[in-house]
Amino acid sequence: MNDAAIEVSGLLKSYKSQPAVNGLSFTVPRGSICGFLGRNGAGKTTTIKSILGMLKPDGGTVRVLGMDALDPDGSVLIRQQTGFVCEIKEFYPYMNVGETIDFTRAFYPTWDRTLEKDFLDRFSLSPKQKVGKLSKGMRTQLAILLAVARNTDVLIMDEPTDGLDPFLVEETLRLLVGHAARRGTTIFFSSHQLDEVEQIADRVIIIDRGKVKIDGSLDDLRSNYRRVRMVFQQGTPAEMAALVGAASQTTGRTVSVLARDNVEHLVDRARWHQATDIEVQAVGLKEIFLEVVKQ
Amino acid sequence: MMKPLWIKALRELKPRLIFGVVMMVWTCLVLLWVSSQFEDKKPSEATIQRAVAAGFSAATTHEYAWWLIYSSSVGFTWLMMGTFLAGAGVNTQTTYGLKQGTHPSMLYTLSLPVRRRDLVLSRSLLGALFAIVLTFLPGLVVWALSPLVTKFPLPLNSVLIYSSFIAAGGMALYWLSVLFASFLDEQWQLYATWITAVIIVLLGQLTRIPVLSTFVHFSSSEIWIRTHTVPWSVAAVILALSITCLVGALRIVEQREY
Repeated sequence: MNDAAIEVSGLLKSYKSQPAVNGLSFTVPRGSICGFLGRNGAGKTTTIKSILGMLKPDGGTVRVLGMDALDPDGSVLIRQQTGFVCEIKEFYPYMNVGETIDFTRAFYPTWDRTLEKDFLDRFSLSPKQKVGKLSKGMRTQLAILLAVARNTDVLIMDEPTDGLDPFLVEETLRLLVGHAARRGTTIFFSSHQLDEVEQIADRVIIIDRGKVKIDGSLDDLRSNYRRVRMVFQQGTPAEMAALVGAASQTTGRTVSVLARDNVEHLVDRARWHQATDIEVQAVGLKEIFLEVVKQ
Repeated sequence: MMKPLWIKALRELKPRLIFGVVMMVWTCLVLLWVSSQFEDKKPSEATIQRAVAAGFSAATTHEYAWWLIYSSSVGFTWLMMGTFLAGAGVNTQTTYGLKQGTHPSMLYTLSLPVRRRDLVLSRSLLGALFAIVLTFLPGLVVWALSPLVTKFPLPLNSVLIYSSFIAAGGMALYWLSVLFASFLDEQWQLYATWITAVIIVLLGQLTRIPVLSTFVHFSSSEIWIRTHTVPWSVAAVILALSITCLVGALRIVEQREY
């Protein structure tokens, strides 16, 4: 069996000659929880739509559970074997919650009524409520219920906590992680809430202007990146300025840089230049993300 | 997988169908009432001439009412009612057809595990069925009620023949509306259909292009009332136009990026 749940290779898509994704390649292993990050317009939604076969890319290949998303029949199978939470969580306003669940259930042979009931109870959604009258948070809850109850091996979610209050965000993330752990479900989700990603993801892919900037495990990211703060008595030496490059922040005699891989070398050189103070700090995902998309 | 799509199509069609039925029955009742008010009085000479010109042999007010129902002006209204029911199955239809832009639930529809052609076929075929039902409705209502209020009921077979012509002519406009629905929002879909219909009527009247002018008379049953013959060439054009519009709508929806 292929170990990859999602394989994207050389994905290309332009809108009116403006590239949305530009040769995007990454792999999401089975059973992983992968956060998919990027600024607005970075190409996240285009990528997700391509993965589900809702969009025809200009080039490249996309496979989900070994099925080709570019093949019309393959894309139908992918959508049938994948739980999906759309960026826009809107349903048919002429249906109520119960009817929406019944309607969606009819498309998915793997639908789990126990999961449906479980999520319905936890989210306090009433089957009689009209979908058009639901709040944004409730529509998000319904979208998550409809995705999870399909009981599929892969869950793809575009901003899954959009509109939820902090309590419900915690509750929802806990439910999703618990579900993934019990079933071995692969979760691939995009979010602008980096603390949520940090809380549940074991892998992170950061894209910017349609290209992958970072693709790896969150643990590796955390251990590879360090914030190095150096204080020099008489301004920043030329060698250090060249070494830290434009990504550094200089305030008076203090130089601060987010370093990857070359932390020890940087500290050695700072000592050689007689830095009066050298501080190496662990960094969070937010800091790494901001640094990556700033470049 | 088609069953839930039929349910979706039915839910979107239901309010439009109810609206269409109410409008048509109300119009028929008004026509019948007008007819019954003047049953014993002879209509004006001008009225008689118009009815006779349209192919009605007698000249009672009741028959004039029948002529009204199937004449090009009111007959075309029945055709237009059918276009209210047209849809391509991708954009969620939530109103009676005057909503601007696409409904945000369209993305949910596109994420369903079905081919886009199934979305188009389920919605457009059910809509076509209801449009046909709607075009038979005025004739059937008047046929059913006219014995109660007039002395000259028309035979059922005439009603069915007249209605068949309207339904056939209406299908050309219906499928044209489905084609427009594949790339326009609800509002512009209807505007585009109506503008096209008006252009067909005007071109038919002004240019005397045989197919166009015959299409107008065919769609209002006048051609049958006058000649009692079926213009098969026009029927073939309507069939070809309908199939072309359906195939066009399928291709557009399958290729288009939403």
